[in-house]
Amino acid sequence: MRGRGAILLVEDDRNEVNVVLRALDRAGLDVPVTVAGDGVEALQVLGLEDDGSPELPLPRVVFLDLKMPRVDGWEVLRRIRAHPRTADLPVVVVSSSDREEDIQRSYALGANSFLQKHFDARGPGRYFAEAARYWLELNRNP
Amino acid sequence: MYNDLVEEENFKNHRDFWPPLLVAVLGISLSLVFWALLVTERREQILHSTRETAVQLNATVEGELEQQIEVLQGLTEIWSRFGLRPVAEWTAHVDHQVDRLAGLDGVAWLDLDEPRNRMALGTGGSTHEIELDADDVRRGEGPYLSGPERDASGTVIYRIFLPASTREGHAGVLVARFRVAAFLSSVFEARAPGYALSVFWEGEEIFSRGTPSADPWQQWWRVEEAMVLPLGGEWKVVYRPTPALAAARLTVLPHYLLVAGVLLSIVLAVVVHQLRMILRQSRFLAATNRTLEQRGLELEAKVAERTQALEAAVTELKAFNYSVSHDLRSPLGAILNFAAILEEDFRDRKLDPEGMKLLARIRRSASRATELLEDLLRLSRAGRAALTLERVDMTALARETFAQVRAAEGSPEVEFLIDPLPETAGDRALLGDVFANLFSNALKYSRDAEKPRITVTGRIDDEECIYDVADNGRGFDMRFAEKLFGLFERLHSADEFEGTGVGLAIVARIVGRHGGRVGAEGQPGAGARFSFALPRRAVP
Repeated sequence: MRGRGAILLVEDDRNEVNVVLRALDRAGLDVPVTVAGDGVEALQVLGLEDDGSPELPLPRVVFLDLKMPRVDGWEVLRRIRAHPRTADLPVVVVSSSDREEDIQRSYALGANSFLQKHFDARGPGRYFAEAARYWLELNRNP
Repeated sequence: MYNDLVEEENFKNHRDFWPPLLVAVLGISLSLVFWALLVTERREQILHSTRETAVQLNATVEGELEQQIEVLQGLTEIWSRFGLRPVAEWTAHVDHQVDRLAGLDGVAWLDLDEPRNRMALGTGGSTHEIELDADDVRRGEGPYLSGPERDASGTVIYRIFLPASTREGHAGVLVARFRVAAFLSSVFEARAPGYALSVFWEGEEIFSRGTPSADPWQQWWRVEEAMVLPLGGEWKVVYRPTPALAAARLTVLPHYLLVAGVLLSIVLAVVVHQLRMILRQSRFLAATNRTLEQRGLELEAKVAERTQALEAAVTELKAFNYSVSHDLRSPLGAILNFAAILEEDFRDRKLDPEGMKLLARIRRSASRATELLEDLLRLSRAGRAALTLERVDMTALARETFAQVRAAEGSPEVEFLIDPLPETAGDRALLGDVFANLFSNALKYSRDAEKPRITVTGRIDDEECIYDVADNGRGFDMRFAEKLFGLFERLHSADEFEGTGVGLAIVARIVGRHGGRVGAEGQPGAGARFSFALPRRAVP
């Protein structure tokens, strides 16, 4: 699952991944996407797992699911913010949860944005593509 | 356990009469002994002093008798010396003696050798014939006291015989006659005035003075003292108290003491009984307290146990809720997404219109399931979230909420009228949900009206603030009013008006959690009015 995409999509649900990839494609965002199936893979991709693998270029934005097997989204977020190399990396939490405590905890851990997964009547995953466009084309990273 | 204690207590009562009874019996016995000792002691004192009086008095009488004899002896000497004299001379002499000798009735002299020579002298100048028989003559041989006898009139007398020889050497005898009553009453006269006296001589009562007390309780006070007569024989004197003396000497103090002692014993017994009762009661209470304490501890343990179980259940429910919110959402979302993708991607290709229709149904159903899920989660939150009470400006809240709902529903023109509403104390977010659901319903059911209108009013009652949300929409049949606030209850089909039947259930739950109540009234085609009332409480 190693890659050098502009977007790192951390998501364990294959269906969701499909919808997102399609939405990005439909939105005309022709950017490489690296998909990590869980937290461990995400940390490997970001070079935060101390396994001696060479450092890869960082993605420009990380879309991070919260509820995942093995290492969950919060742990990944904590590790990202804890490492100086990734401390400023934009992280968008994407979750089906709408619980206030989940939202607050995400921001407290350093998330830049919180998206709630939902069915977009305008087109599947369109909200996601719009957010990706914002982070890739409008937002300027430090 | 408690009943056991009570029964044991009752059982004890039966055999617990002895201690106070014992105290009473002991106290009364002691009082009686003390009383008896006191009474006996006093009786002995009284009898002792009576005896002393008797001895003294008897001695006085004896002395008087001796004096009589002495005087008479003197007479015999005079007789010896002077012989027979004229009667007048003797009479004077005897009279003189009679003054000194109480009870002396008369004196006679008899010459034994010459019975002609005899003289009888009465007292007070009167002369009585004194009969002398052979026995009298014999008695004249020595000093002698005869009696008891009676004279011709029946008066009890005694006589003293003394030998007296004449100058001429004739043997003679002097006889003096005394009336017992006169003698004794003169001797006793003022002596021992408190006593009633009876004098017996050889079983015959020869004298009595005063009336003894007739009280049967005072009959013990009786002293019998013999009086030895100088010339042999004895008189028995019985000393008894007159009622006056008895009353003076026999105070009722010992009896009072006895009564007091008995009363005190009874009081003491009662006190002992009461004390025992109190002691027993306190022991009983202590035991009960211990039992209750123990029961309290058991209860506490049970409560802790149950609380733990409840907490576990709540935790489980929360986990379940979380799981539903995530795990059910994802597959539903996937269905929706892929149905949409299918529709988009194959619109102009392999799927014919019928296929598209079926696909649309799949999407609608999944949408509905998702909505239902979301509503259920909202309902669950409404029931579970902690209430944060604060001052809520209901007018502003209603306005804001209406604006949000209207924007979300994208509703066309609607007239929104709102009166100033009473403020209340409640959870702002939850009360916002109440308005949101009511407004959403009002918008939904009035969208067919020619000029949709929503009116919000409020008023303050005695105990509650009442808020009404009325619309001029479809309305409903009052027969179904009760069902409105039930979960999943709907009065219209999903085709006619979308919805899950959860909104009003959420309203009812939130209002219920605020301690309030909900109501609805309507008429088919004439609009509906939903109201909720919140209890008036101090606004923080």
